[in-house]
Amino acid sequence: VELEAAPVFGKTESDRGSLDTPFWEGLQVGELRVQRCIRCDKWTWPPQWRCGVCGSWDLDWPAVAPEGRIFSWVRTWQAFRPEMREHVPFVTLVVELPGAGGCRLFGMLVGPEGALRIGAPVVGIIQNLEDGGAVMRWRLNETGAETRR
Amino acid sequence: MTSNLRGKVAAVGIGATPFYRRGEAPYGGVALALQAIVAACEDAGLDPRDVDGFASYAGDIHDGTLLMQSLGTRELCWSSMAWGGGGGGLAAAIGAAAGAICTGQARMVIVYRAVAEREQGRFATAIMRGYLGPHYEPHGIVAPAQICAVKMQQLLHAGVSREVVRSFVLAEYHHAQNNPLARAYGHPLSTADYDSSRVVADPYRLYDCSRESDVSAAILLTSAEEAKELRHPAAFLLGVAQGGPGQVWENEVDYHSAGFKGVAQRLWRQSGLTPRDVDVAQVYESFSGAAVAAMIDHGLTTIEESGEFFKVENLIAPHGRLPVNTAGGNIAEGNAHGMGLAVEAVRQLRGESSNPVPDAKVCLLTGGPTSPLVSSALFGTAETL
Repeated sequence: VELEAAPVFGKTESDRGSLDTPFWEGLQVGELRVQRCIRCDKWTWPPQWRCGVCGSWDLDWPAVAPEGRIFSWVRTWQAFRPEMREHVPFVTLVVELPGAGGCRLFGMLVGPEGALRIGAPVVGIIQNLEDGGAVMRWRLNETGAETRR
Repeated sequence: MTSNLRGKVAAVGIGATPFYRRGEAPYGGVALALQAIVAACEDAGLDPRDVDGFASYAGDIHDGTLLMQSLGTRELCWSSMAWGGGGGGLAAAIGAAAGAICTGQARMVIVYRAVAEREQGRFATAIMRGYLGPHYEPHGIVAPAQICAVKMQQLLHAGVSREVVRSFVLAEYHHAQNNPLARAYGHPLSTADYDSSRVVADPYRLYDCSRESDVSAAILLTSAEEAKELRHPAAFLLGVAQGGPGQVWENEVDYHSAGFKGVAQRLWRQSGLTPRDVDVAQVYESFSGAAVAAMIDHGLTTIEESGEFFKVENLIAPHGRLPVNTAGGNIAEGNAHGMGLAVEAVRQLRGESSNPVPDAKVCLLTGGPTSPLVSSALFGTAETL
């Protein structure tokens, strides 16, 4: 799948004022943001109201480098919804972000699939959508450092 | 130290409707639930009017208050819902019922689950409601099969082979051939059939996926004292535990596990038993790999030994090392969101299974790998008390 042709299924934004709104706002201005506790610096995902580690209610949303490694993946062959029919098979990754304490995000793989395996380095690309939304895609980063978990 | 729950509560009645193909039951979920509950009471030789408690899980919409008028309930003393989605609340619902009975809050509690497409739509959609959202769907993740496949990929990476998972499925289909109630009865599955089946969400093939059904199943619990007066040998609850990792969205720390490690430790401690004491296991599997992970979590085998342990001959009744899902499980019997496994656990300890394990005394029941909450129970015959 090429970036321009990558399909989007479902909404790419939460309702305004949701706990994760800063994530979507970040993508729309070209940043990958993940939640972090201001007091103890612990990254957290999914976002939370309160840091379960130190008890602080103050969390912010720093931008992190869109660089990660494949934690796991699935290649979907069955069109679970009619709109998937022309897009299967496609690969969805769970990407681990070393720059955000190892938090993991879903994202569709775009570009070549040659090095698809757990531990392979990937780089994130934000795809801007016509409706003003934005969604994170991932491409294998052949020059990145591979890790074995 | 064993708990003061051990042996205090027993399953005395089992009931189930047929496993209809999804959408094909002639009734909706309320009627199915009533049929399963009344069948469980009749099996026990008890009057449905005396059922005074209801326990279910996974947000079952057929709550007890909707059933009381048809059952003629004399007095409602207990109703409880185990949170957590998926089939994870299966044994947790049994635990809630047992807690009510042990503490005298209720006398006869029915644990049940009803699934019918006409009311709730597709099963997968119904159980994922509230779990999916913009962090899943734009990336094409819309079904439990895909999320479970992501977990399975990690399990393969951790060292479990595809052949291990296949053996589990083949054992279930083997058992289903002796169970006329199973959806796969009369439809044996060969290794070649499995290997050539279509891929749904790699690494899962068609036969790794459970059979969506319209069905209800129920087990009736009461105190051990009352159980001794009844017509069938009781299946005594030796331990029951629930738990969960506390992380979601694929951020679970111990990701390739099925989430049972703490649950299993408490289960063994409560029951005073060890994995070696289990004669037969009914292991929840919406998708096959999850069952393998659950068995590893319970210490029945290890990742390193899984290749040897999960040979088909080891997994089948009557003489396998540890027969599993002896009615066919969610994959080959049909998916009552796991309640069929609870019914089969009781059948085994009565000697009434279609694939009896000779002299089975202890049966493990697990609910819900790969869901936010998981739970397990151990049932035993009177000899184990």
